[in-house]
Amino acid sequence: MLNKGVIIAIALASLAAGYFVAQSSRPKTPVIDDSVIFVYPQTRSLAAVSLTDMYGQSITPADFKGDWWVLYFGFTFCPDACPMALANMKQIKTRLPENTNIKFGLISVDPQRDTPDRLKEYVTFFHPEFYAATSDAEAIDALTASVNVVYAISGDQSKDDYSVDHSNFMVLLNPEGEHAGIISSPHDPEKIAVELSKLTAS
Amino acid sequence: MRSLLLILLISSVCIACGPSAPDNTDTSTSIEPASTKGSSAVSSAPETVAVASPAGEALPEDEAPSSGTIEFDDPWIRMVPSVSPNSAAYVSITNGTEDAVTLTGINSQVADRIEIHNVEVDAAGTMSMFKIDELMIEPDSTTMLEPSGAHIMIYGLKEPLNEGDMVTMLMSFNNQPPIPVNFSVK
Repeated sequence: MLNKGVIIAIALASLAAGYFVAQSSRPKTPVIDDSVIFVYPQTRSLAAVSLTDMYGQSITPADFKGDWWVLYFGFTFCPDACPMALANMKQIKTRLPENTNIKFGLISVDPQRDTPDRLKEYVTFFHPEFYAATSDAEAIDALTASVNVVYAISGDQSKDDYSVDHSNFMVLLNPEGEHAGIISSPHDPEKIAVELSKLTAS
Repeated sequence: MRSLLLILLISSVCIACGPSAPDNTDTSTSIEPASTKGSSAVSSAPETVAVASPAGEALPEDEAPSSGTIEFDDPWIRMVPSVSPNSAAYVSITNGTEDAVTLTGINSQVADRIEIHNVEVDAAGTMSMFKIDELMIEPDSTTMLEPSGAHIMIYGLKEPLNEGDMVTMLMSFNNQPPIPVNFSVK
């Protein structure tokens, strides 16, 4: 009886050992490129349009030079995607060092409703250092086209509750003021902050 | 221990607060169909604990109704800047009844208009929302209304919502009396 028990114990131990060997020799999960920031092989220029920022100042995309920028193209009446994107931007920003040279902004594709005052109140709700600007439809068309953002007014613009369909990625500008890449959704603030830090330090 | 914690979490979510129970005292996770009507618009209350698990999980038999209930998990409204008149609300709805139920409308005193919206994302990553008139939930299944997916669209907030506010919304179904559900603002 005892022998039988010992044999069973040895058999079980061998099985367990075999299992562990199999586990350790099994190839690890294949490494895939799961980066959350897509950096273009070649940077692109932004359309040289005139914008009005949230302080009522006239600017051009050249004014973005000097810092990295993460821009989101949306609108303040947006119920779902934009507040989520801006809340994510805030989460990204809080994970970056205070003296970071990465800035965050909203470009409104809805100039009919988004006045400078409204934009200012909207973005600073998420973070006091957030920035916003917009322009007329023609300039917005040119600017969005130059950064591959698409948008479309949906509904009756004579009423106040029309919606705007728009791209849901963030646009990355390098310190030369060029379109360097995009941050596609879903946005994971933790991962984005890590990758942004690496990218902007290199 | 884990299931006890889960029960505590679940029971802290106020789901069926009618006029007589506007605060967070209801310990039930499900709603017996009843013709109650939501009364309070916004009330301040501690932030609701989010329950991510499927409805009914880890509930003792005597607390888990076998049929005839519609359950609402983690009802919440996205806090938006006060200049934004629109927001979105999310909840996962489990149909524990034996028949398909159809959500036909949502009303609340806090907003001019509330709609059910679905979202489409095309290959280029463009999000577009469109209104759907009704949302069918098959028997014994859960439908998630969640960020970047189908959601409850709130138009024309009458006053800004603050974090921690509770908002009662009256959910209308085709074959059920309307059900008031308390959403927490966060």
